[in-house]
Amino acid sequence: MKRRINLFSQRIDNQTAKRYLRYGKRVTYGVLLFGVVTLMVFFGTYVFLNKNLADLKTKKNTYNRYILANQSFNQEIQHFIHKFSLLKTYISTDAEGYRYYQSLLSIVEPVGLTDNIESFSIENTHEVNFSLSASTYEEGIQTLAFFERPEVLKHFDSLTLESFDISQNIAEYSLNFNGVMKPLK
Amino acid sequence: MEIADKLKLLISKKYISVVLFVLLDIVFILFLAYLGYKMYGIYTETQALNVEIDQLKSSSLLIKNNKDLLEGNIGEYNILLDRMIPDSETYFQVISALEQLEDRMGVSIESYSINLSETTEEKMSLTLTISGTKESIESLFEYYRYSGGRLITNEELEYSRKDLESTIFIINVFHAAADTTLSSDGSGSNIISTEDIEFIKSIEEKL
Repeated sequence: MKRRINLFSQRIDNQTAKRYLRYGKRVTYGVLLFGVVTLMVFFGTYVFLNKNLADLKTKKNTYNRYILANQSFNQEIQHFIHKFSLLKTYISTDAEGYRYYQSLLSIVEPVGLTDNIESFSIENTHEVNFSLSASTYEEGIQTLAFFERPEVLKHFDSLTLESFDISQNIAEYSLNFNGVMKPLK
Repeated sequence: MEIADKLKLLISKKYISVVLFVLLDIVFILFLAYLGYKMYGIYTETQALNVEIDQLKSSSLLIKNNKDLLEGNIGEYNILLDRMIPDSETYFQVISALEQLEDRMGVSIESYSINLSETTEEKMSLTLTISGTKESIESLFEYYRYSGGRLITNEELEYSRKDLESTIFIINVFHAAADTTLSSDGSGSNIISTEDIEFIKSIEEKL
């Protein structure tokens, strides 16, 4: 029996292969073109980065040499800065209460109330509490009026009379104030 | 027979050139990837170096900015600062400071207790019960900060003139270890002024 060759199907295969070949070539050229451009960009960047790195290394060596030449002073100054900044931080939390107490005394001194101050407390936020005694009701009212004066109030951010009491055993009045004193320079 | 035909086809000019091109592409892409990887390595190295240089620059500036003013006496100032804020705390150091405070201010410290809630790693808060005359107690309130031979602070002053025999006075004493991260702490912008030096010298007289 004679075998028949299907020439038509072979031609189709050949055409498909050629089409793929053409497609493959185009892709290959495209990739090659993209690669060359990318390579040029990469190479330029690589040279730039390398130069930059070399410059930075030189800079680092220069600084290192300077620090090494002053090694002893460097350690001392670092220690100094550390402890000195701590010192300033800790001092800033101090209430400096006595300065504010003295300030209060100087406020009440013109009207002779310095000896009437019975208690005083102040926090580092300048929140203050103090009490003054008055032997009579009239004196108490005068004290209250004194603390309402603008020249007195200018020393405080706020000031309120918390209580105006009379002692049970002896005829003595007590005025308790609280408020916030203005920071002293 | 078919295999031989296929082989012939494979090594025909057209296929060889395509295969070579594809191989070249692959090699090329791999090379680009390698170059990219190398560049990324250089970039990260540059970034790390920049951080390192910033620290070194900061240290260099710190030296440069303060050398003229401090070089001669910095050791002495550091000793003074270490006295005020020692590297570590011991029970005897605290007792010694309290005794010095008593002697110099003329008050009597009747008792003391540690405020655990206020005490931190660097700060020890103590409540003192003191007695003395009005003058001595007020003197303590005025000069406590350096009179114990070290830094003492008070965050809240309470003063009752009626009760001088048991005045409560809350103090803080501090200690701090020398900084181990030296280069990162000392910013180059830190410039010690003559006022700062005068301030330290004024403390020295009070200790």
